[in-house]
Amino acid sequence: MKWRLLVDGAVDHGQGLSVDDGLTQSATQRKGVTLRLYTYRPCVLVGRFQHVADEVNIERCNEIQIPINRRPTGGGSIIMGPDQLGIALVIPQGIERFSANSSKLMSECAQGIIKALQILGIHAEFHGKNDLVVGRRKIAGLGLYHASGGTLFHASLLLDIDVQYMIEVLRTPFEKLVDKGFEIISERISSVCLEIGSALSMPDLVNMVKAGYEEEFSIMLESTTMDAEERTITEQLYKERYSTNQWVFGETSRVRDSVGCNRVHTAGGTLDVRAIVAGQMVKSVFLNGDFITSDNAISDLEGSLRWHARDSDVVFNTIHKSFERNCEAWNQVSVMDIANAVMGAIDQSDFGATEESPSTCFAHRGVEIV
Amino acid sequence: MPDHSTWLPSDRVYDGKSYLWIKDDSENGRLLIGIGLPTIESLGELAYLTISDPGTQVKRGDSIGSMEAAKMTGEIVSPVSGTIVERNDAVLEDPRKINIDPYGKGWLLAIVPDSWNLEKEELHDASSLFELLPDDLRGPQTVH
Repeated sequence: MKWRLLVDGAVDHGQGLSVDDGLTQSATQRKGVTLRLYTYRPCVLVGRFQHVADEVNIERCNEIQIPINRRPTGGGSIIMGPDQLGIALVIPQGIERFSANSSKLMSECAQGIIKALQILGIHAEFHGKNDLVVGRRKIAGLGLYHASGGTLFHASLLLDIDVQYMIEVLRTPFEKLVDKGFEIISERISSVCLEIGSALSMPDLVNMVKAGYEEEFSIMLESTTMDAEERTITEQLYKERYSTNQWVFGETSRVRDSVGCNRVHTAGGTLDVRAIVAGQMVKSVFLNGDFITSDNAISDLEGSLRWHARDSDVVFNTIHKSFERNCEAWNQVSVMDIANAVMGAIDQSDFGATEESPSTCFAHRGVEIV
Repeated sequence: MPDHSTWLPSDRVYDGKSYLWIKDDSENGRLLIGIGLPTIESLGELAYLTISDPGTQVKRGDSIGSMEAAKMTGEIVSPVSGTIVERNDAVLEDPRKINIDPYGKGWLLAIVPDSWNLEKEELHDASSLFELLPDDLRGPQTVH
């Protein structure tokens, strides 16, 4: 079995996104599966329904000439550049080896990356809504987009990451906490170079990912270029969508993200919680403070609450289950302490979503830690 | 034949690709359109939604909106041709209403069809759609 392989380097933000979307819209069973591995020139990409002003430090991006664009896939804002590998897997409708169920498909598509990292000696696993993690640290963000021709699996895999630069251009939850923000983000993020403890070139990483997909799916990747139909659709998408201010900065959804924070003092220390809420959905929760527990317990709790219904009884059940899985790690912090801290932050988010006071408190408005 | 009346109510028809449901609201001369449980099983919880404005004329296969759920984003593709005459503001404000009541209060929009008699031939009743569904969309799965 052969899949098509496209490799690009240093692509323009609008062109890069147009190609992924164009390949997906013109996907057919005859062409089969296409894997595209590429890097962007430095840019910021927001998720499909994010509001740019909430997510990106537009002024700083303008100052240092970092362009902004919008992905067709969901999730949070990311920086892309020479040290972040873009991975696009285009699956035409009706390819039997892939699940029709998106919940399973995301994990299936990520297996090629997991295999590539395994070849490098890195044990990564699929975690939460759309993350690949090593231990508790995110090393790649994932997304799925269904279009008329097929499905696009998107990933950004970190060869390396400049956290300071990321904090400058993205509106992270921690922008008001100048020093601590760097530390908190660094604790939740990893990269290939960090994990292997040495430098690796992007071409070498591309070869590893290629090998990972070939081995995991028992296929051969055959280098190719876009056909005439794909080029036409791509050019049209660039012109009508990915080069327009309407696509990047236009109105997306009536539901706006809001942020709540809550601090609870317990016998085991202070719990500092930030919750990012979209309407009736909890998008993510961050837990910090001076309490003692394991990294795994925090990661499990934060992962369990990603993209979660905000109903208090459902939130409590999820917290309770996570607590039971890690109860020995929570030192003098009770399940009620955690539930009170989290639900207080969620409730507080109802008062935190205004354009006039963006990123209040610890405000994370859906920025991915990638 | 398994009982799929809860999964796919028999009082409406379905698009074979998107699994959107279409219910004849002939008293008002229009069709109601919504997202069925097989799609919701695949998507997970919905958080963001857009729907085209009332007055928009669409052809079968045109985009009439977009959405982001737990596991994916995607276009909502019209299963019929016609004119959008109403959209459900309640689900635009709170897309989770679709997860909670997909066949009732979670409807998306109403269309006055152009060629219903012709296009309904391309749609499926509940039984025939059930036969088309992949195994992992024929009922609740444990993955989420």
